[in-house]
Amino acid sequence: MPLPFGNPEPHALKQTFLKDVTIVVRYDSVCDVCQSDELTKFANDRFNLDIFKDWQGQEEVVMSSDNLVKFSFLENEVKIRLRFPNYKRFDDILKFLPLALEFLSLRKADCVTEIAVVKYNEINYTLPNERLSAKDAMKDLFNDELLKDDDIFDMSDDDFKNLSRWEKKLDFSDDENHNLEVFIVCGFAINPETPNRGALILKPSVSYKCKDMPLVNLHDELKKLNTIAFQAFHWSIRQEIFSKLLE
Amino acid sequence: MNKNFRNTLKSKVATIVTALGIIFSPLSADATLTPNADKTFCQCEQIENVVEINNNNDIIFESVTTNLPTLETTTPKAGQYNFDASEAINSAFRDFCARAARRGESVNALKPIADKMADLLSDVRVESVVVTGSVEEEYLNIRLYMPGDVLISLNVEEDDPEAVVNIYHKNTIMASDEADLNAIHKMLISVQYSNV
Repeated sequence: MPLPFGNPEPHALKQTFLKDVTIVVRYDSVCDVCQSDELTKFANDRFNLDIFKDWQGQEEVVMSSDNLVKFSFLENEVKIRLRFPNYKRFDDILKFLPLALEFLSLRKADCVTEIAVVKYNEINYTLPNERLSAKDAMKDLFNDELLKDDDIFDMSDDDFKNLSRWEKKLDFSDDENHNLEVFIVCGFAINPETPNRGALILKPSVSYKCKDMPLVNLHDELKKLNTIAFQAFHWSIRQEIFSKLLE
Repeated sequence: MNKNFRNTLKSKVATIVTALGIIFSPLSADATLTPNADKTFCQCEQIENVVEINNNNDIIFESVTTNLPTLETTTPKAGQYNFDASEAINSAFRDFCARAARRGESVNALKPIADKMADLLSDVRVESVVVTGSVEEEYLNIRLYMPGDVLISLNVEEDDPEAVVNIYHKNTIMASDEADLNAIHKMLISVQYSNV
């Protein structure tokens, strides 16, 4: 099945809903020592970041003190997250790729098994009157194709409170894309204290499972995934809204 | 940790108004935020941090219920943490079940675990609750986000009454009997009031 998004090229948008972008690199490792002190030093020296270490769940985290740059390390995974406004274009986050490569080097991994790009959008909305609800905001923003086949609008108003999230997995089973998966998560959050205001969430994730991808290919492969993530975003929202982002 | 991330936007926020009059608020691409982004961002990050981004289409499900603070509020108020943990767990678990059902899975076997945790936490107030579980691995994880950036993670396995409670930034305890669960409850109440 071909990608349903068409082939729009990534645009430089004048307005954006994008709040953060994450790169995920998974690998097989024969070494289970994290050596995070070395990574912290590397991050500090190389990127001149004021950073600190922390544990969040099972993740060991190295992050800048302003929380705009974050590196997370798990047993077989490294993640780099960059937030707006530090993120303006994909090259901004690729600048931090050397830290992931350093991490892989410390873990004695010379190839990766999966990569992913996740783009998190958060869209604040205000309803003009109480006859409208978060459902209307979703219908106004999101493409009909994104919302169809889900039971979003079968929910009662009682259930349609606070925050809910739906996940759509797009499955590509042809030979060319058989390792490619696209998840699009959309949802909403309502503030009970100000029910006319809330936020919609749109998060396209594109992952590519690969067998022994050489590290040297990482940069270019991530850029390809980013293009698909942009196309998924473009497809997910109504054209008239996207046009407004260009103005 | 996130207390510094609650300032307001410096630059003017543009809006998009739809035919229905709904206003969407994007950021100007050349906007500069104060060193520490806005608060909605901070709170939604708590939600998004727990999303499984590549879950291999397996039987891990996740459900979230949360409170969304207002942009104007620059510091947390006690009243914002107005979710009763018990209700929040029940609500999140219902959604968890619905998500499982949509994928053709039943997670009813995990319900007694959710009920047990809901009972235990009936008078604890939280900011948000995340329920994650696996039918195949027969476990349920309940994460409670509490004031003061405290995350409490309860891992319970169906065939094992033992509850492992991790209170990040605070302590780690394991419970294997009723007395331990009572001690955990006491600690949660203590955390609740010490951080508001």
